Amino acid sequence: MKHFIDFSLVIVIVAIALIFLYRSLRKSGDGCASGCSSCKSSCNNSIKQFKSIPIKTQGQ
Amino acid sequence: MDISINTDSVTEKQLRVALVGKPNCGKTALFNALTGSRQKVANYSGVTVEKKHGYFKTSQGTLVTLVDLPGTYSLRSRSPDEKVTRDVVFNQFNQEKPIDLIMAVVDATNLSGCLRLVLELKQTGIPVVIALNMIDLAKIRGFEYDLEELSRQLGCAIIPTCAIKKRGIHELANEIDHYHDSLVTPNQWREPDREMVREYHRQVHNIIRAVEKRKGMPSLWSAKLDKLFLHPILGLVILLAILFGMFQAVFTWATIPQGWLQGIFDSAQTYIAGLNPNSFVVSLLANGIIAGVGSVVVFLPQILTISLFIILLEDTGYMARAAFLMDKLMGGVGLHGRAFIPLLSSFACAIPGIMATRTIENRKDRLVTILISPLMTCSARLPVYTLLISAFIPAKTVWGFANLQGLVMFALFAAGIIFGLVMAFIFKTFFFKGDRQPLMLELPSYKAPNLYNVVMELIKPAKSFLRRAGTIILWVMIVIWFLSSFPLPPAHATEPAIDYSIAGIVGKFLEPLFKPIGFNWQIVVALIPGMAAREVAVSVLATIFALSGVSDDAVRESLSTVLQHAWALPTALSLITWYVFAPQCISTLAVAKRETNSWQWPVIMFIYQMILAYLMSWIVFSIAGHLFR
Repeated sequence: MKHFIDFSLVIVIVAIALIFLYRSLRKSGDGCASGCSSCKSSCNNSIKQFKSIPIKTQGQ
Repeated sequence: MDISINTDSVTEKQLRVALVGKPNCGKTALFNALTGSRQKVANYSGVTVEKKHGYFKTSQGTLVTLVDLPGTYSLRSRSPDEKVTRDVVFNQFNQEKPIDLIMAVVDATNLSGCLRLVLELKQTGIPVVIALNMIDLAKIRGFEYDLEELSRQLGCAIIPTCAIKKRGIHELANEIDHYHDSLVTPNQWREPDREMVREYHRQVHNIIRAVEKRKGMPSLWSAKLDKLFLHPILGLVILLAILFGMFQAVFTWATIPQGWLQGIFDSAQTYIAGLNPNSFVVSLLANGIIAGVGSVVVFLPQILTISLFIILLEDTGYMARAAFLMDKLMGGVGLHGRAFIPLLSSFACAIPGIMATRTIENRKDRLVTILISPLMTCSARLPVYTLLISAFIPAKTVWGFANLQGLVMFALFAAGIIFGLVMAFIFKTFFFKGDRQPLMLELPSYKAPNLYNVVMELIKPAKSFLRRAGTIILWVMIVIWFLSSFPLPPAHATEPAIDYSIAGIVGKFLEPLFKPIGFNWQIVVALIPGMAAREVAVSVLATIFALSGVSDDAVRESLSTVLQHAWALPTALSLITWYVFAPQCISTLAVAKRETNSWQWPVIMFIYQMILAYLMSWIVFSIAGHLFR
C-alpha cells in the first residue's frame, strides 16, 4: 500500500511535468520559450490582459 | 495593442504616442523612464529592432500607450527594423489604433543628425513633440541652443530631457496633456527624391544656424580613446585581450561561488537521498530534481561573469568599435559589417541575435547572418563546456599567466566564430553571390557604465537562467528521471537498473548511430532533450549517473569527477566539438523560420549544422583516439 501511494504520487508529478513540458515546447514552436533575457521580444505581440493595470503615473 | 482593453473606464482620455528618433539617441531609456519598463538599453545603435508597448498616466489622467520603435534616420526606411518604424507611423499594422502623437527624440549633442527626421515627421500630419535628450551631456560639451527659436522654427514643443537620469520626464508627460487625437491632419509625406533630400539638408543647416548659440566640441576623450581602440593592429590586440580576459574570469572568479553552490546542492542531495532510499518520490527529488536542476544552476556564476563583460562593453560604447574593427574581417568573407552586432548578440542567445539581423538591409547578407548565428556559442552551451573542460582539462597555468581551462574555453568560442566565418564565406561564394555593402556606423561617445543599468541588465540573464532551470529544465528532468527509472529491472538483474529503463533501451538502440564519433548511450540520451534547452544535457547526465548507482558517493562529490572516470578523453573532446557545431534548440529554428518567413532556411540551418557537427566530431574523435591511445 505504501509503495502504491509512493508510485501514484510519482505518476501525478510526472503527468503534471508532461503537461507543462508540452506547453513549453508548444511555445518553443513560436520561438518564444527559450527564456533568454531578450527573447520575450520574439513572442507574438498579443494584447495583454492585466488583473490590475501596471501603469506608472507621471508627475505625482 | 490597445490600453482600453485593460481598463473599465472608457471616458478617460487616451493617446497612442510613438517614440521616433535616430539610432542610439535614448528612445528606449526615455521609454523606460516614462513607463517604468526595463527594456534593454545599450550604447550602440540597433538595440531595439521591434516595436514595444508601455503605458503611463499623466498627472491630468491621460492614459498613454507609448510605442518604442527601432531607430531610423529617415522615414525612407531600408532595413526591416526601420520599416517597423515607418509602418507604425503610417498605421500599417491591422488591429492597432493609429498614432495620435509622435514624440521625436533628438540627440542634443548631434542636432544636425536628427533634424532631418523631425522635418519628415512633421509632414506626416501627426502632431510632434520633441524630447531634446542628453541635454546634460550637450551642456558639458559646450552646446547651447535657443530653444524658443528652435520650437518656432520646427513648429512644435521642445522639452529638454536626460532620460538616463530621469530629468525632464514629468514635463514631457505634462506636455502630452495638450494633445488629443483630433489634431491629426492628412499625411503630406512622400518618399523624398534627391532634390528633396538636399532641400531637407538645406533646411536643417538653416535651422542650426538660427538656433545654435554656442557650438560645442565633440568628446575629446572619445577621440583619444578611438586612436587606441580603432588602431588596425593595436585595436585588434586589445579586442582579443578583452575576450581572453573574459574567459579567464570564467575559470578564476566564477569557480569560487560555483563551489559554494555545488556544496549546497550536494548536501541537499545527500540529505534527501538518505531519508528513504527505497522511495520513488525521494529518488525523484534527489536524483531527478536536485541532481538534474542543481547541476545546471551551479553554472550561474559563469553566466553572470560573461554577461557582466558584455554589458560593460555595450554600456561604454566599445561594442560599436568592435564592430568597426571586425568590418575588414567580416568583409573578407563577404559579410556585412553590421553582421557583427547580431553575431555578438548570439553569444547570449541565438534568438535575439537572429532578430538583430533586422538592422541589415540586404536580404542575402541578412540570410547568411541568420544561418551562421547559431554557430556563435550561446550561454546555454556554457554549462556543457565548463563541465567537460573542468573534467578533462587540467587546471594549470601556461605561459606563466594563463589558465589552461580558460584558454580552452577561449578556443571553443573562437572555433565558433572561425567556422561561422568559413560557413559565411561558403554561403556567400556559392549561394548568395552579390556585392558587398559598405558599413555605415555611427560611433557613439564613450560613457562610463551606469551602475543601475549594469545591475538591472545583469539581473535579466540571472532571472531568465533561473527561470529556465525552474521551468523547462525541471519538467524535462522529472520526465527523464521517470524514463530512466522505469520499468524496474527483473528480479535477478545483473546490470544497473537504468539499463532496463526506457531511457536505457532508447539510448542503446540509437548508440550505433553515434558510435563512430565516440558517443555512448548516456550521451545519446542527453542529446535528445538537449534540443529543448542546450544545458539540459548536463542535467540528464547528472541524473543518469545518479541513477546508475555505480558510484553514488562520487556523484554527490561532483559530476565532473564521475565523467573523468566514465569517459575517455577522445569521447569528451568529441562531445565538446559536437556542441560547437550542433543545431540549436527548437526556439532558434522557430525564430529563424519566422524571420525568414519560410521553413526552407531553418531546415538548411539544421541540416548543415548536423552534418558539420557529425563530421567535426568524427575528425576530433579519430585524431584524439590516435594521440591519446
